[in-house]
Amino acid sequence: MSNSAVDMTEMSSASADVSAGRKPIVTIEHVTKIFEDAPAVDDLNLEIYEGEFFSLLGPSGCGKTTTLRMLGGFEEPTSGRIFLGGKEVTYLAPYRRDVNTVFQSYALFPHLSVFENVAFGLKRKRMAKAEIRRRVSTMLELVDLPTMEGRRTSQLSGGQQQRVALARALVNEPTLLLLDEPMSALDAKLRHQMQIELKRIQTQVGITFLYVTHDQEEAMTMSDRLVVMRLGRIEGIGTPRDVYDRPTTEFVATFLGASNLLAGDVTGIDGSTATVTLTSGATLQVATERLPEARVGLSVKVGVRPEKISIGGSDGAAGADHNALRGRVRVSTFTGVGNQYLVEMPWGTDMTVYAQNIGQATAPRSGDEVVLTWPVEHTFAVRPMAHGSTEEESTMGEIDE
Amino acid sequence: MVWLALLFIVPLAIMLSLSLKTCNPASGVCYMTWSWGELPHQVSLYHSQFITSLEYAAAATVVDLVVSFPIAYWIAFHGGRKKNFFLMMLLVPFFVSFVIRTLVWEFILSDNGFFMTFLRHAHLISSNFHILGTGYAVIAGLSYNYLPFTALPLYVALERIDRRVLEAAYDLYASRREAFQRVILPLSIPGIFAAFLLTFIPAFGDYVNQQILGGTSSTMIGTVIQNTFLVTGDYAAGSSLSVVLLVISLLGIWLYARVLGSRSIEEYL
Amino acid sequence: MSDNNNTGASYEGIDPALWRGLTQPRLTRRQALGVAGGGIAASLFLASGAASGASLPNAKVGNPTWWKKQKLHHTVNFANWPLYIDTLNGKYPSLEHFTKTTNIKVNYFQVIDDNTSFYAKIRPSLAASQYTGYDIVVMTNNNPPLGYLMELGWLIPLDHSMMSNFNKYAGPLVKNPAWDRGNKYTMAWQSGWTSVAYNSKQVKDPGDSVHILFDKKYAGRVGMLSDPFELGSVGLLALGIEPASSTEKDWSKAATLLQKQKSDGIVAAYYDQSYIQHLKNGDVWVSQAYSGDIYQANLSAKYKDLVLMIPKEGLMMWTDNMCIPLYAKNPKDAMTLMDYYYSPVTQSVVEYYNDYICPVPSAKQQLLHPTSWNKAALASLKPEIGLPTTATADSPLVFPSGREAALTKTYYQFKNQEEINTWTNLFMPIIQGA
Repeated sequence: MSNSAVDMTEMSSASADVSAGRKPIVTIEHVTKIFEDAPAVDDLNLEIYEGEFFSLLGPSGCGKTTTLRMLGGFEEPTSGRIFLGGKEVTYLAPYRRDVNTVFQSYALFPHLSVFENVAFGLKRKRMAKAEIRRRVSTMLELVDLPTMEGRRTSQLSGGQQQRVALARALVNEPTLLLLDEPMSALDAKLRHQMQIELKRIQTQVGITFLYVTHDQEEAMTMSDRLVVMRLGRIEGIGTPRDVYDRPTTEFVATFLGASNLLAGDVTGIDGSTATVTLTSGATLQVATERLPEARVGLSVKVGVRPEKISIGGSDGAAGADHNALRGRVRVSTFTGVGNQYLVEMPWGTDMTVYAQNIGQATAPRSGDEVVLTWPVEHTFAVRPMAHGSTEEESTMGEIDE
Repeated sequence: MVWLALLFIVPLAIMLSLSLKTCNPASGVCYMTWSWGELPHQVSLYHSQFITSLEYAAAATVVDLVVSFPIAYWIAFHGGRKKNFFLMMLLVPFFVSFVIRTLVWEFILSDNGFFMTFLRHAHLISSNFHILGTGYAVIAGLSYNYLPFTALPLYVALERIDRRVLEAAYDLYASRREAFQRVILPLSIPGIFAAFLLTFIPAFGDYVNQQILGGTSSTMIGTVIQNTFLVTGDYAAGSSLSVVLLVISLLGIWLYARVLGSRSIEEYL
Repeated sequence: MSDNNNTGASYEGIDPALWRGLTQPRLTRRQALGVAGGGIAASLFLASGAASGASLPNAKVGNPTWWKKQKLHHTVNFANWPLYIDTLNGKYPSLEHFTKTTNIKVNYFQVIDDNTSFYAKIRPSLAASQYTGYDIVVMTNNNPPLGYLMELGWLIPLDHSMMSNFNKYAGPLVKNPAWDRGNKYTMAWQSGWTSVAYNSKQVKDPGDSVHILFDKKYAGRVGMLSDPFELGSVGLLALGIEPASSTEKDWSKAATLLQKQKSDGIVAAYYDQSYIQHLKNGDVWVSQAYSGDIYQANLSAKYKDLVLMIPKEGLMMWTDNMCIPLYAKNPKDAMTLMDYYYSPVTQSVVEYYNDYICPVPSAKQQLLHPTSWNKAALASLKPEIGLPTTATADSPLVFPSGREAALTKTYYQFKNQEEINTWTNLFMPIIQGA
């Protein structure tokens, strides 16, 4: 118990360290954007630090693209203020902002060559021709397209177009680079490759990236920090590990990775540990600190990530710092790197368990009675969501995709 | 293919062969004489009318491009949900017959019409000034009558421009003017080209506007061709003139494509 | 723009002048496309290789023996110019009376709006020795097609035994005319003048000469006709030359005069039928004009100021002629109908509606004192016309008096195609010069 508390403190301070000593490059203050009566962004407050790879993650309609467009200057907030590098830019035209964008569809200029596309911004800045040539060449080298200068953009593959779009934006060395789901048009393999490359480039140029995506894996792979948005509001913010391991809402728990969530009520608080009694009568331990509110009688959902659970024989025993539940294996799926089990619980629902393939001799099979155990420190509790699952929430007035 | 042959190639072939024949206006019998000489002969007779036609058609095309570009641009970019309504408004006058529309222009530009009367009363023009019967009236009529042929291709071209490409331009420090110059205009070149062809070619061969609105010194080649067919009944000469008209039009298209079609507009700006 | 008090059929809400512009009705029939003096001397300009006189396709047609074999079929197909016959509520009283009394059904087609193009439509049938679909067509004497039809033997000679009305009532202007000696092929339908008209509000001292058209005082206000034969003829009149007896030298002089008139900026434009609209709205103050247009315009109080001049140099007269195309299926029915229109009783009804020169002078008495079925017909037409029958009867434009008749001139009669080409090449460049 105390261990877990220490861990958490460490994590918090670690994430604080990310921002410590850095000045915010972007500050969003109470920004609200209303499209035809429906708020796409609802009283958003956010700070992004210099040199960060920062992601806005959420399902379609969560307000992430609208937020990006307000930073780019393509939309004006209904209320609130936006600062960039300490200067207010809330109503500044896009071409007056030191911000560049990699658009979802790349939006390359079809009538211009690769070189002319990349040089576009520099030309508008009235830079000397020789300097433009030098910078464009350097940038094309950086994105690994040095021989493509004279090509028309229509002659390029999707991946190459994406690199041109990136080069076109980066070559201007903006204070902030906005990336609007830039990988959505790429196939899975290429996308993985580009993720690594994008991270490399970001490290190399040191420019602050604001990355918008609905792909949680992508966001976690690349980001220094990320926010999970839903219905125009922030549901969770922090480093990927922070947000993943310590989800603060049911939405984050289910949207960012998978979670087993069990409904119950807080029936006792004993110092740093609270007891939650599930509807079936079983009890689980949760760190008091991880309750949304330390109050007996509070309805919560107790959660645990599938990979945190150990699956053992029915006679397996759990220590005091572990929670344990009995069940019966319904489905067992071998995935190579591990096994995924769907374990039917006495009250009828399934829990998901993920066990890594570390060469155990015997693995439980369908029909086996098993005991699921996991450390209390990996147990979290969130308030039950007012309305259902994430799929229902794509109806808001956001204009992404 | 069959329709193309029936509706286009066959009439064209008949016209071409007629231009090499000599016809008797009484019996209507035509003899193939293979006299290519008729073509230069007709050009020498009517070269000034050809030039007038080129001038008027060019002027009308320029007027149409200048007038309809802002209209098409506005509808494409700011028409919102009422785009179709605005397009409809643009087209409604053209549901009226070509001749009636032109006659209405005759009425408007007439010396005693409200327009000229107003200008005279406002002392903006002298009492001797008139438009009707001048080349300006013909150009005005041509411009009006062919406006949709310019506006619609332009609209289609502008409508097709990806709005995100425009946003990309703004994002890359292009002001509104620069974005228009560097992105919208170059991307609307195919539309401008189509508009040019659809306006210039028919205006070049038009005779209605000249006959209704023109005066003594503004005969267009279309009028000459019409007269050659219907007054003199000389189908061979009329066909020869038509062939010359066709060749000039094709030459114009070819030149235009050579000059504008194959190079980037960027170099011209 | 509204002139609904028109003797013409009234098209509700549409200005008749505008309507004419669209449909090219009867008033345009001598527009632009004519050849003056279409009576072309026989055999002089047949197409090379075409038949000589002896083997003309109508050689064995139209003689008394042939006519004797013809029978009535109780139907006749009549092609005429639009708005050129008495019309009441879409029906034709004079034609209805004809059918009632003769039991011959008339299919009346208002399909001719231009001599040349109508000729081009019937020519293929005639060349293929086929029925054109019409038993009567109406062609103008100052246009080549009428001459062509006669030259090529594509008309049926008339049966003079069936022309009792014509022989009795036809006036001197249309009997034995220059373009069809002895009325071998044709009987006039109506005639008209081409003269000079002016707006008396703008032209204060018009005088009585065609030289008003060349007066620099009216620079930019003079309308001329775009028909090369009308244009050339008025040029000849201005030079004091009789068009009918003019020479090629005279034509050159006339062309020079007209070219100067144009380069001096006197001519506003060369108009087809549209000159009348320009006279009405005041753009043009004085213009070459057709008598019927001015008569019609004067019926409206608004255009009372338009005056048709009877110039001392003369008035050009043209005539539209009924004739029977070769291979007609119902020639006898056609003859019956054609002669029927030479009854003063019938002609009074036609003329009350029309306003052209009447081929039957005695129709004037029938207009003043109708004696037959025309009494009821004239009465029923009156609300449509809006004027008493005396207005028609007393008009010198319908029943010319001695002075007008004396000043009436005929067009030059071309002797061959070369002459037509010479004329056209002199005057067309003036009209369509850039």
